[in-house]
Amino acid sequence: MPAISIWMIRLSFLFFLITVISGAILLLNKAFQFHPGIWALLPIHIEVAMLGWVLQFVLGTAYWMFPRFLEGPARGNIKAAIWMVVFLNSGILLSAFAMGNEWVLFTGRILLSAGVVIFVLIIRNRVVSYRNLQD
Amino acid sequence: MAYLVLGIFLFLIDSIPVLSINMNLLPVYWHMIALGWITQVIIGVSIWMFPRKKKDRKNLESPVAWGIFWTLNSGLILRFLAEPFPVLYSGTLLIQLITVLSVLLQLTAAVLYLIEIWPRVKPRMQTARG
Repeated sequence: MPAISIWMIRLSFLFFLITVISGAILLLNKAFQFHPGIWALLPIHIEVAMLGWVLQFVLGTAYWMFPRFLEGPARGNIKAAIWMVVFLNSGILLSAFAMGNEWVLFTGRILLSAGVVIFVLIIRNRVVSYRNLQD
Repeated sequence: MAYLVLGIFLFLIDSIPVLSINMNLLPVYWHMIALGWITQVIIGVSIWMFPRKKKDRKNLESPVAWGIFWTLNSGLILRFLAEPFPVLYSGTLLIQLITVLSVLLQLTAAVLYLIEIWPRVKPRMQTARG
C-alpha cells in the first residue's frame, strides 16, 4: 500500500471515530434529551461521515488499487497526490467545523473541491485495462 | 444489501404522508443506507482485501472480525427498533434502555473494527516499483 493511501485511509479511520462518537452523543440525546444545544453536532456528524470517512476511504483505496502505470512513477505525480491529501483534509475540517461561519464553510468547500479535482486528474489515466497488452 | 433495500423501502414509505404519521423515519433510513449498507460494505471488503496479518493467511476470519459483525448488526437492529419512537414515547425507560444498549454495541463494533484494521494499513513488502 502506498504512503498516500496509508495516510488517507488512516485519516478516514479517525473521521470514522469522530462520526461514531458524535452519532452516539446525538442518539443518547434523542432518548434522554440532555440539552438542545447538542443538536449542533448534527452537521459535523454528517460532513465527517460522508466526506471524512466514506469519501476519503474510497479515494484512498482507489489510489492504491487502480492499475498502476507501466512506465514512470507507478501511481503518477506524487507531489500532486500530497496536495490532494492536504486540500481534501483541510477542506473537510473547515467544512465540518465552520460553526455557521459562511466564509470558513466556503473556503472549506473550495479546498475540498480542489482535492477532488486533483484526485480525478491523477486517477483518470489509471482507469485502464492491461488485459490485451500482448496483442 | 438487506439494509439498502429496507432503507430505500422506508424512504418510499416516508414520502407517503398517510403511512408515516408520528414516525421519525428519516434518521432510520439514512442510517440503514449510510451505516448498515455503505459502512458495512467498507468494513467487510477491507477485512477481506487489506493485507492480512501473517497468522491469518488461511482465509480464516479472526474472532475480532466476527465480533464486529455481531455487535454492529445487533446494535443497528436495536437502534432501528428504538429510533422512530422517542417522539411517541418520550422518556420511556424501555426506549432509553434499548438506545443505551444500541449505542454501546455500535461503539464496540467501531472500536473492534479499528483494532482489527489499523495494523493492516501498512506498506507492502518492498517491490521493484512500489
